Amino acid sequence: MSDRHQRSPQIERRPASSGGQATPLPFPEQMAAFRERIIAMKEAGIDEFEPASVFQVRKD
Amino acid sequence: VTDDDTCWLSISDASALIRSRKLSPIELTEAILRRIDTIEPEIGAFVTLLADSARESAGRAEKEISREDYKGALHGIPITLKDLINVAGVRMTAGSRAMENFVSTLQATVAAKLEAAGAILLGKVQLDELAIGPTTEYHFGITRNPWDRERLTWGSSSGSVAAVAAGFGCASIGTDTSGSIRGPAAACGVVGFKPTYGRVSRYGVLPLSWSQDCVGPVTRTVRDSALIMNAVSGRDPRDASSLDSTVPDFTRSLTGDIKGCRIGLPREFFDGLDPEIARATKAAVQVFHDAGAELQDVSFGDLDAPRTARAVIGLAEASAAHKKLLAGHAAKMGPNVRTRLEVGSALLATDYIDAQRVRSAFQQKFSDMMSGLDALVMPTSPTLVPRFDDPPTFWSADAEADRAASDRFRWPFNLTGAPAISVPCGFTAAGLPIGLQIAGKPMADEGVLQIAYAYEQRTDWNLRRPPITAKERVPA
Repeated sequence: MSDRHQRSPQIERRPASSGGQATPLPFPEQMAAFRERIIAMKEAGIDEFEPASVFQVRKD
Repeated sequence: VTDDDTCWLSISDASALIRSRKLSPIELTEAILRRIDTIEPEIGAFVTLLADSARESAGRAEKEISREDYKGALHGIPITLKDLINVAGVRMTAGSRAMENFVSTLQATVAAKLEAAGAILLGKVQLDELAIGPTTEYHFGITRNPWDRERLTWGSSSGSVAAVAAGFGCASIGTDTSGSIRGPAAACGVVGFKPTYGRVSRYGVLPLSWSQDCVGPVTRTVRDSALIMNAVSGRDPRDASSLDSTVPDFTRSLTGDIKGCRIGLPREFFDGLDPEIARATKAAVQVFHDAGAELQDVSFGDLDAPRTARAVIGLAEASAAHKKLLAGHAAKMGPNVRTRLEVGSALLATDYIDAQRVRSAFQQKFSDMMSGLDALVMPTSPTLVPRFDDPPTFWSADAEADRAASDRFRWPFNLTGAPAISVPCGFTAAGLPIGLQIAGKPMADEGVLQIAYAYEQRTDWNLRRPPITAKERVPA
């Protein structure tokens, strides 16, 4: 696989013509519902916990 | 030996034939390319097929092997890569029109390792847009389930599972942030393994959620997943999350013996199942019992807070990862993808921090639950994969809908970084595959593979092939 720059793919699927249409944004009703979930999450007894390192996996 | 036989060879069997010169990498590659040429239009697994360079690689492998320069089990083995893994000089779309003209200039570590192991790259395969999009909004054609072309494959590693299930290569590499290897693997009747977070380098792999993304194999057998893991695992200084631990021989634990293994059955994951999934899972649990495993009822307890934490972390990290793409190319994104990224942008820093605190609590609870166990066993999904004409709802801010989502048995192992595998465990009356998930503690990858292998050795579900060609549709 050393000659990648000379590759000529046999199939290159092209994007469908549809897409890129206006986005139905979730605001405000969906964000409000999600915000309720987040508030409930914050009340879930996490006071003693600090956030784990983003790149840390517990090995025990 | 016919093309049909050749295309279904496992890595283990193909490599044994290649090493003993009974099968050449050229024969193997050509047989698979003929199959792709014939039936790929019915499946739609590929975004970019690299037939010419695959032939060149096969020729090179054959010469190397003929002069006794054998690199190991993957030498001369045709594989595919999910199209969010950079291969220098090759287009990488990530399944998005926003990246349709992007050509990679760097080589992902996983691609480099597979190349060094002598694997042959057949091409780049489909995925849900940016690995976060819904499975029904393909920008590069639809990927169909090889077992029922009217149904989805699930995602996001849709092309990887479709390719392996359809006989387009011996293996594929996918990514799993919330079950994106395991869910589609279950839906398409193949093996999908999400290793411990950090086992496989993510360098050169388009990120979705930095703290949850895992790279892993899709194969037709558990042993083949172990062989891929042998080649792609290990510390990578270019990936801050990669684990600084010795890479074991992942095949070493594949003895078939699980007598005395302690297996937990999380009760939350046996509720609300499709009846046919419930039946198949019950039969699978009996297999473990008969093999001498000790089964225990266990519980995750409340999952609502960690479920929300997972959504917050996933959306916030995805929005951070794709902020430039969102700023410059939002109009080219599918509506669901754009919505998710914009929701992530609207979250507060304190939301993210608190979600990580909930995650820490969940990790501690998971660790406590697993302290007396070797593994958990459960269905991979509570539901069967839907038809294209009855697609699921994708974005939901509603907690009830999230509780019912098809990935509800899979995300806990991304939030904890734990290894988990899906193996075929049966079929519905209509012939749809059903998957069984086996998960372990972080770093217990070998134990998970051991238990999955022991199950596979006692069943024959992974030997069934989808009815794609006219010959394959004839009942045996």
